[in-house]
Amino acid sequence: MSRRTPASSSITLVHRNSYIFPNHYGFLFLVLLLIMLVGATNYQNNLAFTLTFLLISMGLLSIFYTFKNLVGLTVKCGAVSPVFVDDDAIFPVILAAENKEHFSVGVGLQGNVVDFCNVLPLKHATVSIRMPASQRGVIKLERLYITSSFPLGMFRCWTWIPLQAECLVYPKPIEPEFYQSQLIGNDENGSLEKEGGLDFSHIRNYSPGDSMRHIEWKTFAKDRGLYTKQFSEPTGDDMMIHWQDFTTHDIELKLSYMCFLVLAADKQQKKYGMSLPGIEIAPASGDEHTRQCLQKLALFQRQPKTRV
Amino acid sequence: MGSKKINNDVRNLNLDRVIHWILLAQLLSLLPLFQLVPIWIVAACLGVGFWRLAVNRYQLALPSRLITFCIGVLAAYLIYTTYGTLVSREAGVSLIVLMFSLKLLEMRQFRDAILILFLSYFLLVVNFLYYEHVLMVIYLFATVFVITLALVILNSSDISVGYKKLLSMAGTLFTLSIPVCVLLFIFFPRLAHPLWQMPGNSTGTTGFSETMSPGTISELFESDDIVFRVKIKSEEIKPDSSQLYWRGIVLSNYDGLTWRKSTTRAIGAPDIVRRSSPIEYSVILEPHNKKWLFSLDIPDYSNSYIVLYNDFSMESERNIRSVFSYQLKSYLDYRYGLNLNPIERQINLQLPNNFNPEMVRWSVSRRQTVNTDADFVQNILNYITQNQFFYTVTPPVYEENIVDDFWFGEKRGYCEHYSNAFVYIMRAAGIPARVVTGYSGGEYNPYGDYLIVRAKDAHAWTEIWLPNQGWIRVDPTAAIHPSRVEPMLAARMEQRTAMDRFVDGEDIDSYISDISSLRAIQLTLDAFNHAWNEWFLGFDQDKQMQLFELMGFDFLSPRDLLPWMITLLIILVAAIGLVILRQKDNGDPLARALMRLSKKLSHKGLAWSKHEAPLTFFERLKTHYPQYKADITDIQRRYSSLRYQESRASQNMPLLVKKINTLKSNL
Repeated sequence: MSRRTPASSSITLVHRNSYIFPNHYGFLFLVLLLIMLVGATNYQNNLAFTLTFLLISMGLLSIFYTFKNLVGLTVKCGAVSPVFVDDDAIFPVILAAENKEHFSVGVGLQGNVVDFCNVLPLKHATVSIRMPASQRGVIKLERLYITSSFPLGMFRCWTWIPLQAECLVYPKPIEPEFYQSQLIGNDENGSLEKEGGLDFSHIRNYSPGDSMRHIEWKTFAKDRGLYTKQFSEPTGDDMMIHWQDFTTHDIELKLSYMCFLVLAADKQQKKYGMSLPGIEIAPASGDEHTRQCLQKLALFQRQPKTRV
Repeated sequence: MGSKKINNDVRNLNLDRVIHWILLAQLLSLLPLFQLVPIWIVAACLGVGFWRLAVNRYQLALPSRLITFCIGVLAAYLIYTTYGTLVSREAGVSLIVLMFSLKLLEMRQFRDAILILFLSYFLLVVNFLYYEHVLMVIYLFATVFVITLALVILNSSDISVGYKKLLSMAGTLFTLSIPVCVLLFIFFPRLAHPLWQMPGNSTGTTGFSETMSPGTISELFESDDIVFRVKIKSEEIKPDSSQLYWRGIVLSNYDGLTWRKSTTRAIGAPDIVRRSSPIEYSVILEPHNKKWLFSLDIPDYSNSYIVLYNDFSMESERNIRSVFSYQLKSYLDYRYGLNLNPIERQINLQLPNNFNPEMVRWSVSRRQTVNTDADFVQNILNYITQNQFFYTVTPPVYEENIVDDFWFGEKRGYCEHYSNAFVYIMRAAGIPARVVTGYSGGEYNPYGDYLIVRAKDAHAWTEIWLPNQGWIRVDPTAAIHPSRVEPMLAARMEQRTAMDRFVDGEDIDSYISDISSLRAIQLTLDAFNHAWNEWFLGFDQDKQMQLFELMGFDFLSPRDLLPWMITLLIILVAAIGLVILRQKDNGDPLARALMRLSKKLSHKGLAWSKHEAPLTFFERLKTHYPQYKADITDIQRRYSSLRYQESRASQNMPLLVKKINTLKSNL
């Protein structure tokens, strides 16, 4: 499961895209300056005037520094790994600088900042944007919010980046309680798999050195002895996961069952195939095959927009 | 990690790096005010500071808001008991100082830290209401820089940035703000006359007293403190030293020991008859906590904040607690008070009973020996000159019959004694007379073209009333024979005659050459201080208009100022803004070196792409230039260690840059 959606193209922040406006602190500062100015005028105190003017000047000039701090960045989204439902989709946003430094750049969604970073010419920064994947299919990160108020924190400079990054969400694997499978005969062999599926074919006595993962714990818990599960070797029998095999009417649940089975089969390095309404996948094994199956499950009856 | 909402400013506050800066900024802005508050408040503030540091260092909990509130109330109560009130100036300062310190206990979030820094700026304004000396001002503007630096560091506290970079950013911002500040200072409209005086912090006085008795003036002779400076505006008229009498207070009421102001003193100066052209000058008065103003005999000027009395003494409406500058006109040659009303006459003839009987007799009989009052005056002055009267700063103490014992006894005295005696004699002889106290003379400072009048120049003289002449000044000490003037006092007179030479038009260089080098340094410093007072502290509408004239902008009137200011402000800020935006970040020599390398390789299509990790770039290079593999690997290794352990950058970076440049030239 290693091929990911390719990175989106980079977008540079230019002057046109960025906005700047005073934030809360800027307005607070303004109020403070007004009070100081009134006080200075009242007492005709030239020192107070000078201080107030100096602060006004710094405030005004900080507009340019804040703006400059954000402009010139390039933003792109790195490769996004697919996730399962109820996981978080992680979008690695990569910021790079052309030829100057950018400090305290905030990256986030919808006006909320997820994290801050510094971006230096030779040190690009990566910020992981997490979005909960509540539904299978495709999660899109459409607009990224980039902001900064460095150096004085009185002005907020921000921009919206149309990133258009996508994350594939596989259905959540749920173990089916009852499953009837059909085998495609490789007629040569013709051996059958037991009902109930893929767990193990039989057990044998435990011998030291057996992997802990394969111990039959239930039996042991009942004080009936220590036994090791033995998995049947890939016999060359192919497994086929059929849409019709599941009696439930809930599409999502079916897909979840199928997902579980795909994962289990993959784990056991079995050859398996899959059939969905309108989609047939011949038995095969391997990462790429599994990925393809999972993708089909994810995108079943979702928008067909894929960039595989 | 949680989402940090900038818009709702509940950013996490990572204090570790920045707390020291915040505390430093706060401390610096409070430090000058510590001098004005009781010691327990200073201790409390420092205590709170350490407490907050400990909270941060040892991860302690801050007290709850309720507890902090109670501490605040307690503090207010303590201040109330110290001062008896909460609304006086001193109590107000104490309250501000303590409450500001306590704010540290509420510093939990980002916005609290920001607030503390903003309040630090505000505290500086409070400082400026009390302090105006040049050195203090330099200190306070340095504090502005520290507060700004703390603000910058705080705003980068989310993620660490090198101090050098932050420092240079704060420094550049500060420096570029100066021209804009200057522009605003010059153009911002000022009032023609100040509304009222700043609070000031002066608790000192110049020792000048509202009454006179033996010793009140002579004890001031020790003091070199500057009381005021005078800048003479009139080109044509220059007073010589015999005319430099600075009128302070007029005293008519004598009880045998002490002279006091007359009860008939009222606002409204009498008409001045027969006068010369006025001399125009400005007085820059150092704070002395009282209301007296000093003027050259006889002033004729008043405005809304100066009160002129019927004896030509002057006062300001409020206590002078900071440097106060005022413009005056005076007539050196004058006649006034020709009509003396009977009450005035009576008051100015009054002598206490049972004092100085010998003097009364002597005076009355001596008066018989001359014809007119005027002759009598001259007679007495001659008497002083011809007899063994000494002028000394350390006269003996006279008991009870002060005048008798002085005049007929020791004959040693300071100006108090002479004026006292002289007025006594006049009154006894039926000539209305009164004492005037103030200052006389002054030192000319050629480095600034102004006069310095010090506490030691305090003087007392007299005024007598003659028919057809009104009140005339008579200084009996001027009649003392020069040989009987004490050396110290003689030196002072010597100084005045030197000044006279200059006033008469003699070469300023020869005047300067007579000044010792130590004195010259002192005078230059004072000239600077004076310029500071006059042009910077005293920059009002008049000065503004003068400045515009000097710069050639005569066409500007006060009404024009605001629109011009806004226009020029926009232009200047835009211009500087453009400079800021265009400024190429010098940044990293390493980055530049790598950029140069990349640029050279771009012709071969091997340039570095922005999103490529540097180490990947090097790998790529190695495949294309296997012959330089060793060099590139070396560079790669050094680069990694440099970038990820920035602490030794200063040593390793130049070496790495050099290696990169070498590689570049080889390729």
